[in-house]
Amino acid sequence: MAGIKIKNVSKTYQNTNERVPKRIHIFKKKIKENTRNVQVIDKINLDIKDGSFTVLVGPSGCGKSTMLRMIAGLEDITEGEVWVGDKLVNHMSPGDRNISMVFQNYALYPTMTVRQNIEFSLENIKVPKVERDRMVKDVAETVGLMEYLDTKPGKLSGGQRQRVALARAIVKRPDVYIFDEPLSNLDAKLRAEMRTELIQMHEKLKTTFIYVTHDQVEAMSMADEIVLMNRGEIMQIGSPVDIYNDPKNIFVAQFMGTPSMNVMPIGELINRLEPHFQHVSYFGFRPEKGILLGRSILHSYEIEIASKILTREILGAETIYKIENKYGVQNIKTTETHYSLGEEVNLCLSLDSLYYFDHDEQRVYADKTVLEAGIS
Amino acid sequence: MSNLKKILTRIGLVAVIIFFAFPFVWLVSSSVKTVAETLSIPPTLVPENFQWNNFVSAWNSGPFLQFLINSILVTFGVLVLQVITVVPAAYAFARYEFTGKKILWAITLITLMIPLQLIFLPVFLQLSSWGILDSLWGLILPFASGAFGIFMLRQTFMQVPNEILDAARLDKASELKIVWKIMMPLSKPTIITMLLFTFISRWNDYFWPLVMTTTENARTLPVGVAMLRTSETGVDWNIVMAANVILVIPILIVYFFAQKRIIQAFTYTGVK
Ligand SMILES: Nc1ncnc2c1ncn2[C@@H]1O[C@H](COP(=O)(O)OP(=O)(O)OP(=O)(O)O)[C@@H](O)[C@H]1O
Ligand SMILES: [Mg+2]
Repeated sequence: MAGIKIKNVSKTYQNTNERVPKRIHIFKKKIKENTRNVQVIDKINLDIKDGSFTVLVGPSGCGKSTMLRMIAGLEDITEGEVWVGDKLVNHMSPGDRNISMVFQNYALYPTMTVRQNIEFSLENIKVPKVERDRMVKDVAETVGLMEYLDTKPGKLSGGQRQRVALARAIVKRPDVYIFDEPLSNLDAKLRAEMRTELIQMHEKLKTTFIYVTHDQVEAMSMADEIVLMNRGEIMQIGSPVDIYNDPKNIFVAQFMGTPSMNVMPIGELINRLEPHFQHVSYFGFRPEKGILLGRSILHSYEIEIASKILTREILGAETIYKIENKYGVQNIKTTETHYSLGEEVNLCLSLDSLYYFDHDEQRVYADKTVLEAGIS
Repeated sequence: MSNLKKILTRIGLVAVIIFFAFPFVWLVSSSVKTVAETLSIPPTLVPENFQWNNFVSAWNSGPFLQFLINSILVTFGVLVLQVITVVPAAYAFARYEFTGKKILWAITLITLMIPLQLIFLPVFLQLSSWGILDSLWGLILPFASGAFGIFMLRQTFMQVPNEILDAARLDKASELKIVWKIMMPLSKPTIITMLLFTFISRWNDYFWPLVMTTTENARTLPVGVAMLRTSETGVDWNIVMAANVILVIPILIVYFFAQKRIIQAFTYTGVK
């Protein structure tokens, strides 16, 4: 077991040839002969605790896989240090880091049977045959693959293949498990099942898990700690509850939750903030915090905004309304289904459900100091 | 209507088969005729009586055992060396970035385009300076690697998903083991096809052994067979044909066993 320390790590891809279209050079001869450097990870510091279930999440292309691959040793580290336990691994080859990785497309060895797939790593470190057989059998039993040991991966279903990949990872008894979107090729039902299994697996093994996904539900439900990334930088680190309830900026606020947080320019609502919060530029609230009430009904919420229903989406237990008012368009999640399109309603909010952000989209903690309510 | 179409297609196919098979049938048929019958007009397709003896005569009309052994040694020598050189080269071209890669790749491809007849003189001089003219090495070394094989195998290697190699590296497999246990089994059809092409071209090669050898020591079957035609007694076509049949039998056998793999290699669509 081991924790992981990432110190000031950057990654720059030196894109020579292929990826840059040729014709660029004709027009811009002065550009240094078809090299273009792309920095995909920018000075990241991250401390992954021993035995934690850490989920890296972020939009496509933000550098999650690159981070994982640098930890695993599959990609050079341009700058900075990666520590696994008390070892600096920058120049250690992947096989020496004692890390297991599970890939999105399973990456099984197609010409080997399930058994051979699982025991390949043991063979490479020269574990004796008897010992190997016992270990393979143990693992195959845990993941429920006993009857498929002599089958080739091509004949297995997606779920079974992912189990083989898991077995292959477990059998090495690594210090760290790394998962790169392992469930995104599975259908919804199987994904939910595997999610539970992975959580149980983590509880049993108590080893460090680093898990990449761009599915925020996966992140919320599995993680001890979420690392939210964007464009090669960490936007926020925290427990799922922290990240959801206490986002540090608009990006984090909007990334977590479906529909995402409604964020609008502050408009005349600025008048309700104390004078020294005049730098607040945006306010936001979660769709489930908005309450829709008919115009004629008497109520006393701290904020009431005259709005009109634009669309209605009934999802079963919940209904999502798109409404419009002087602040713009917002989504509201509620259990009410009876509002019809075009209906005039009041959007009611309590002040403590509001978030404030400054001009740079960073959070401003103005919550406690908001002036007392009046009707807006 | 569709029946008619079917019949026409069949007729077409049969015509094509006859067109391609005829010379071969003619070869086999002539190999068991008498000398007189090979020259008879009108020609006969099925011999009047089968002269199985022709094969014995052909075999005995020169040091054919020596030729056969030479052919086998040369062909298998080339095959072994090709595997040793082509597989790593293809792997490097497919999977590594290194300085000079582009230039080396260009050179490799260029060798595909230069006909042997153009460079045989310098190679001849080279081999002569090494003193291996008229030896089996002179027939093996120039073909110890092949651009065509490197090219085909590189294509196949490039189709193997990166993640499989990453997984193997994390499983602490050496590069040699990756090639041996993962890349080669995945590329079996291509490797077999490549070896088969090499086998056929080396086994049947006439030009190179003719140029490089001066004595029976290093001559191969095709040269031996061709020499039958130039014997002073005039050409016994039935004997020549019998020798030719002996020459092609190994190819037929090998092709028979490798057939399925070859078809796979050409319809190969990637690794699942
Ligand atoms: N070999 C490479 N050469 C150049 N650029 C690369 C290379 N690999 C990745 N990139 C770039 O690095 C950035 C980050 O890629 P990465 O694969 O880490 O994203 P990701 O967060 O895993 O995305 P996804 O969720 O789509 O898997 C992308 O913009 C990508 O185009
Ligand atoms: Mg990725």
